[in-house]
Amino acid sequence: MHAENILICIAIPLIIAVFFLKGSARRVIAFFIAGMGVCLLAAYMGGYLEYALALSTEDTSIFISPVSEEVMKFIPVLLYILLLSPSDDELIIAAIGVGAGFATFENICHILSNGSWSITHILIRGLATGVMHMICLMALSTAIVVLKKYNAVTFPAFMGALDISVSFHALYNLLVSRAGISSYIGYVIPVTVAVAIGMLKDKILHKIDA
Amino acid sequence: MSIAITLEIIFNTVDLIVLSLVIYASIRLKVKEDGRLFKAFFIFAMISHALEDIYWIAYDLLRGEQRMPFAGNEIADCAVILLLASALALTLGRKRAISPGSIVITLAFMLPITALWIAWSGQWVENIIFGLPYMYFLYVILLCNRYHEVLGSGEGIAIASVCVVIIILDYVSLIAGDFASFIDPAGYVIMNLLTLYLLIRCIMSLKSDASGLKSFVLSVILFFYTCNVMYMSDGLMYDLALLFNILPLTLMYLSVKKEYADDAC
Repeated sequence: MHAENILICIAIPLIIAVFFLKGSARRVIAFFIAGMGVCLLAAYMGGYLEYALALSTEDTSIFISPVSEEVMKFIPVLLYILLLSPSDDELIIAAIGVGAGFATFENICHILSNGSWSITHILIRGLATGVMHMICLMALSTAIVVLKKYNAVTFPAFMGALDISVSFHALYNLLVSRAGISSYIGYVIPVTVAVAIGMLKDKILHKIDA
Repeated sequence: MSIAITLEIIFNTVDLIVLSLVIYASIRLKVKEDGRLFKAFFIFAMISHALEDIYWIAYDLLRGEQRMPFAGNEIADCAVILLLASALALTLGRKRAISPGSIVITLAFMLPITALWIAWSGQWVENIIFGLPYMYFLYVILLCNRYHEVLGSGEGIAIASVCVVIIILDYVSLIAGDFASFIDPAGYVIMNLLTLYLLIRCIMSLKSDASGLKSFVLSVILFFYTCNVMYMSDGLMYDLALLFNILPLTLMYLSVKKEYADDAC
């Protein structure tokens, strides 16, 4: 499988679409493409570290991928914050775009490598791993919005928030690495947290505005 | 499963239960306007600590037979430290200035400790990376200690001297060979006596009329110290240190409540 070719094939229509769109629709598509791009880069990084540290594929996915993937996903959002000083809504839209692009491209590559014969497997992949990538970045961007509102954006606070999303991702990867009850718990966590964030996000931001 | 791992799982579960109660109580706690961000940093630090515990328990249950390498629990540990440091830094306000004295003391303690971690585990990169947040944490603790006048200079020097003795004993134990079996028990006794002293000091501060911030800084000092004791201990002594590491969590919550609780609510 050539992941680069798959990325080119999916990204070209989206890049063309960017030129015909405006406002937040253009922003979402642009960050969606960026998310797919960083997914490929994270895979390169993971592959390199697997080779350099002589780890097995399972160990790489448990110990290395959470760090490389969360850091790579955060880079486009960080550049956006530093270069363009976006508003809170623009920042959250960007984070959703990157997270969705990342999850989509990873799912495409996974399905092409492992097949799409089982609808249960596909649903688990979509609802667990896919949602997990989205919520890690969404929670991180919400944390940055809160820090900005309190005028408390400092490097340690930034890194603390990033570390939470990395450790959440690491916990998910660890739980689903073994079949059985631990994997079921792992599959349920992302959706549960997504629902919780969805319910609490507006409430928290509204409380801060007040 | 060995006794040490079984105890590790039990103590981590106890830690997780305590953390759940602390997180729940902190969320329910109504705080004054100026304490909202402090409370948010504290809650997220506790959530990170809970994530660390869950990861650890899951790892012990799923892969207990393998030594844990650079893993998610250490990243969560970093988050705990950075968020607690951010909460402490808030109390310094905008008047915060770089303190060369605190930097020197931080380096004087953390460089030998990081070197010990490297000597014990053989992992250079990991320990240097994880030493940096600890250095920042100790630096902020020292700034807060001076700013809020928590430990008097005599008491501070006495505690620092005991810490120096502990570090020297660890180095001697490292090169002592067969004599390590005589030196290690002495090190454990001194480490745990200092833990008890700091614990009593925290409880007394909480009961006194001193500000909640003073008690918070003291309980963070106890937390930082017990974390280091944990890394310096082995086997059953490690499990004992893990148990001692649970106590500062409730003390931190009680300090936050003492300082920021809004009685009008």
